[in-house]
Amino acid sequence: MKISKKLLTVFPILSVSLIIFTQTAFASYTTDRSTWPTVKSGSTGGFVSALQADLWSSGLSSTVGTIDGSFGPNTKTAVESYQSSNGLTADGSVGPLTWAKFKSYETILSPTTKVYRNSGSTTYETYYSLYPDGAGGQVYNWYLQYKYGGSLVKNGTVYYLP
Amino acid sequence: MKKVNIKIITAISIAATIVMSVTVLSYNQINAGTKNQNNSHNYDTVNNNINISDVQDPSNDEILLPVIDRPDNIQKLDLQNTNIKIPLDLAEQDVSSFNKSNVSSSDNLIASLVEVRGTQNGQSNEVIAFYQLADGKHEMIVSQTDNIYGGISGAIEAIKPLYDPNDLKIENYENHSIVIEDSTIRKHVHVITDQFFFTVASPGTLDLDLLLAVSNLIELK
Repeated sequence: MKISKKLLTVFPILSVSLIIFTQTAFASYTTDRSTWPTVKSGSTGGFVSALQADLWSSGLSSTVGTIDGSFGPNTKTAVESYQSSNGLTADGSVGPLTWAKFKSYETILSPTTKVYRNSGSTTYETYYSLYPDGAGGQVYNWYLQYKYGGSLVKNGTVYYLP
Repeated sequence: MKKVNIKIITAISIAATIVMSVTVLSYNQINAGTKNQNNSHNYDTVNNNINISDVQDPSNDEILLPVIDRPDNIQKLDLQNTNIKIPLDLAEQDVSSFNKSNVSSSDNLIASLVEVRGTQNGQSNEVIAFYQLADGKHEMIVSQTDNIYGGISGAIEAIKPLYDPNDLKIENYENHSIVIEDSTIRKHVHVITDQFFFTVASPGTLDLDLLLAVSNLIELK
């Protein structure tokens, strides 16, 4: 009886811990931007570099500067500019509404490939492709390329799911 | 003794779970963050690979970057030796002559074929045709890629989650299926056969009938 009471106490704690573990270990991003996390000043990683590539493909290359996966002041200024010109609140943070706006400029070529083309840039587009990694996981890559000719200038990974 | 053991086991379990969570989360973030530094600076290839005159309006303050080598998994496709099934002459056609079309000839908003591009991306071959629309701003994109998604039903299941179900319509025919996204923002018509996955896409302002008419010009055999 004493043990049962202890189990009743321990079980919820373990359950909550397991849920936290599952959510962090298997954060299920997809190629659909509505599943992507909010990125803002201080954020780093693949979602930021994909954002920067899309900002380049929106005509904001000189505002963003280097595509380095770090959400610094230049990226924030570029995001605010993008938001203003697309009728969004210019808060410099990329959440569901701003990701949805980016999504509106992308063409789904197939279940695994997309291309982001925005008339704001006459120079660049971002091509996206999802690959199996050969070990049961998936890697989603971005490719910044010239809009005419498709020559590649920079590439990187949005996310990797084991 | 028993009491101590239970407490120790509980504490260790919680600590281990938290440590594993943090480790895996960090691993995911590091993977997402570090794989994007894959640039090389091959300045010699710039003039060989880019026709700068093709870059429209370079005066709008965009930075021009040098071209880099493509990774092995995404190479250019030799279009000369590719069986292209998508129409490449839409700008010259009278849309009223398109099969099963409800659009009139005055509705042909396709001004010109800008470019046809082929990509061999490791999994499949992809051909994309970019058409400029008459407004000079928007495009219609028509593409074909190999169906590597497990037949028609596999491809439908793979593409469905990418759209809002409210905008989605699926039509099944004898040898192919059509998946339609009809929203005010953008439109997609995917024609799926066992062998190919075709796409006709445009901004939401275009008439869906025009996209369907274009999709009827795709060679399905």
